[in-house]
Amino acid sequence: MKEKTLYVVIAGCGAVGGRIAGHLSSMGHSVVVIDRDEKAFNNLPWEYSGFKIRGDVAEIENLKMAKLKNADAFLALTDDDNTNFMVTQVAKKIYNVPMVLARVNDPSNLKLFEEAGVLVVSPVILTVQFILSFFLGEDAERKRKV
Amino acid sequence: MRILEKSRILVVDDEKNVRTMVKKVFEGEFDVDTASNAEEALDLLKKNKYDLVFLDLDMPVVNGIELLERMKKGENPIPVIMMTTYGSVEEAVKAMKLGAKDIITKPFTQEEVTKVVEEILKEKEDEESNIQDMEKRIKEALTVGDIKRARNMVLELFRLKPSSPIPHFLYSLVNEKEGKLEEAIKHLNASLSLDPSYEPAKRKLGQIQRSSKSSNERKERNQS
Repeated sequence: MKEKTLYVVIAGCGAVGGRIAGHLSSMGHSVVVIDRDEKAFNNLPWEYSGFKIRGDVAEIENLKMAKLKNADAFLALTDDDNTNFMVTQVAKKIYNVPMVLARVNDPSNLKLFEEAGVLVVSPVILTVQFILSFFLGEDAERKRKV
Repeated sequence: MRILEKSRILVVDDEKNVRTMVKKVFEGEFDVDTASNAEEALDLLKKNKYDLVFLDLDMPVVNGIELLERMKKGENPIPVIMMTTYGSVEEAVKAMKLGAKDIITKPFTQEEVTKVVEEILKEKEDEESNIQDMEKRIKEALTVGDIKRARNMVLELFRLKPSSPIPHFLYSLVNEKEGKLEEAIKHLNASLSLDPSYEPAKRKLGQIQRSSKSSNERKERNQS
């Protein structure tokens, strides 16, 4: 018998959500992506072997349809912080999903998410940190030469 | 999963990712074929013998219910697991009434889908072992000359497995014991029409035909 795989629900199938979904399903996890735009599913790689739900992630019916109550992890990766905040709270407080992570587009919202107990990733902060790494720290000079 | 070793599965779904998922779950343990529409599925069902079919309820053009109806008209019904989406309860009930073995709602996990398959194939294996047991008891009854008991058990087997070649074969043994060779040949032909590769019926038919030919030859010699 294979090891237990994770059941992961992803809200938002943009460039980030689609790629994450593809990688997770290639790793053998059971993945469900939700997006209200059918075209967004074009971001899924051809080898994606999970489920797609077309609908607004802010509607509870779509989260029910995704069987969020069974999820081991929920990733809120839409480009709207308000939506991401709302759905992560539903995942945590109503469905008790063990791991809840959100993409936070506006860094000024980071504190709000963190205080609500959500794991966060900020594309802005990551980009800033990456660029600054060429100027700060011991190996900054070596990096600039690459 | 010993019971799954020799099994062959067909996955019918218009969504590529669902076909890929189910194929990935069972590949290696089974032979898995996939079809993206009813036409492709019917073509594969004609060519190959499947132990289990995963069938999507919500396919465009010919949906899962219509395909299930067509499949049930075949000689050997195959266990079908319907794959439905949340909310299609009425259609799911209809599928169960049409003989679907189980229903699994999308999205499902690998563990869920494996569990459903294990249960169905285990049930099938138990059924086959019951049939083997009945077959043994029928042959024992014939050996001790208890034709009435043997006939009753074969009739029961007809009820349990109407589309199997086995009851016809066993009934031919009862007929043979009673000296009704024409009836026996009729049942052996019926057995082979259900499964042309069923060896016991092939052998018995050859044996009866050979012995009836040599008996005719003896009669002809005596007359001349």
